[in-house]
Amino acid sequence: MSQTGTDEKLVEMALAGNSDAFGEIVRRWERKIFALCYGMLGREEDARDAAQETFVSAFRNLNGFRGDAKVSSWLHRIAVNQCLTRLRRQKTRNEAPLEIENEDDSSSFFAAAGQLPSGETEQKERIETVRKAVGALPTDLKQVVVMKEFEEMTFQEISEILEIPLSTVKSRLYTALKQLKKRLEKTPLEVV
Amino acid sequence: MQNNNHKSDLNCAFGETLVAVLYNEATAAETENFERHLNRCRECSEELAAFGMLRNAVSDWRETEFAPLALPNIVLPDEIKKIEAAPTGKHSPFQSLRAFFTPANFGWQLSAAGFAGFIILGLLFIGSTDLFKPIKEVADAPRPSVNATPEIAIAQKAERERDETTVEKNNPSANASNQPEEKTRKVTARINDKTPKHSGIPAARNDNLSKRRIPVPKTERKVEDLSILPVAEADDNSPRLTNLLEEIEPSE
Repeated sequence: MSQTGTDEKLVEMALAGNSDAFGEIVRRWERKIFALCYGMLGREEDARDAAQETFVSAFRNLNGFRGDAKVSSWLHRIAVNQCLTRLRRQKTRNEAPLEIENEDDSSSFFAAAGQLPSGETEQKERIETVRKAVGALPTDLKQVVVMKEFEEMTFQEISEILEIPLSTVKSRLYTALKQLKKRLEKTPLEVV
Repeated sequence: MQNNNHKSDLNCAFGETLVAVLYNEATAAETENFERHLNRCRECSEELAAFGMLRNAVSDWRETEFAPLALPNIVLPDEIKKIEAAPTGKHSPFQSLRAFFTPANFGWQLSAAGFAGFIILGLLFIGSTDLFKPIKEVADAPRPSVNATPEIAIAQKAERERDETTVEKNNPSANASNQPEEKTRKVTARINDKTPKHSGIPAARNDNLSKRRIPVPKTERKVEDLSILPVAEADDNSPRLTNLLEEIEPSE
């Protein structure tokens, strides 16, 4: 049964004992939280686990939800913390660190990107390179890129969820894109 | 022509406008102003083109790998639902104990019976254990006698004898039938008079010995041990009965 009302109203209903209310919150936000986790972690299974743990953690700490914050902001903070915890574990276990090689090569990312047509293998290589470059960004910059590209949010929505000014969202995205460009300019792309 | 005011770093005045134009979120005025700037700034033009390629690459990543994925199908465990739904699900041990004895749950009679049974069990447990045994043993242990030391024994004996002598002086008639014993008692009185000198206890203190409690020495010496203590003949200054009798005989 679908519930109506704002997210905050649904939280109140859930706290009052309506278990379907929190289910509606999950339905509203599971895709965006999953996208955020995927963009932050870069792996499907990790993203699924992080999204699952995000909602379970939110459900367990429902009593601690402050009414002055938005539910979407609260969920995103929990999700980012879950992702950071997993990234730290990966780093500790040295599980395929998201690093890119800094070798100067004429066949750079941008040089190859301009060539047409590109085969399937080359496209996979490009995607892998972008994934690693995004994964190497600082957390606050990476989060903005992922929210913009994977959650497909507007600047205004990102501003409200992160509770930062609109201009800060734009400047963070600009900085992130510049760092990505700088990293990928130095990245060789193996064309098979 | 390059804008002299342009700085290709984070503080670029057109940086925020560039990303707004890139994502089609700039206003019409911002877009028009930025297009005029692009005609003069080659760096911004190149940056816009590079950012466009980056955006396409990220979009490819999203469309190729993320878009086909099914939703994660979030499942909230039922046991969590039950625990969270019940606000009183978690109890401290004290709360559980209080709930156990709540009259509304079992009736006050049952609560009282349970409490009484608890007390009885506790007493039985205490009685079945040796919890207080060490204390009892100490309490029942024979206390050391104040006669354990020879000085105290002699002093008490002397006091008793002196009391008897005093009674005889005050009531001579009572002693008429005890003439044979009179001589012996006098001798005993002499012994008692001399005893303090040899025992090291002043005569004035002898009167108080029976009235006040004599402190028990911490290092107690058992009476049985006295018999085996070697006493040097030269150090034995205690009065001898035979010597005293010899002193008394000439005077009589």
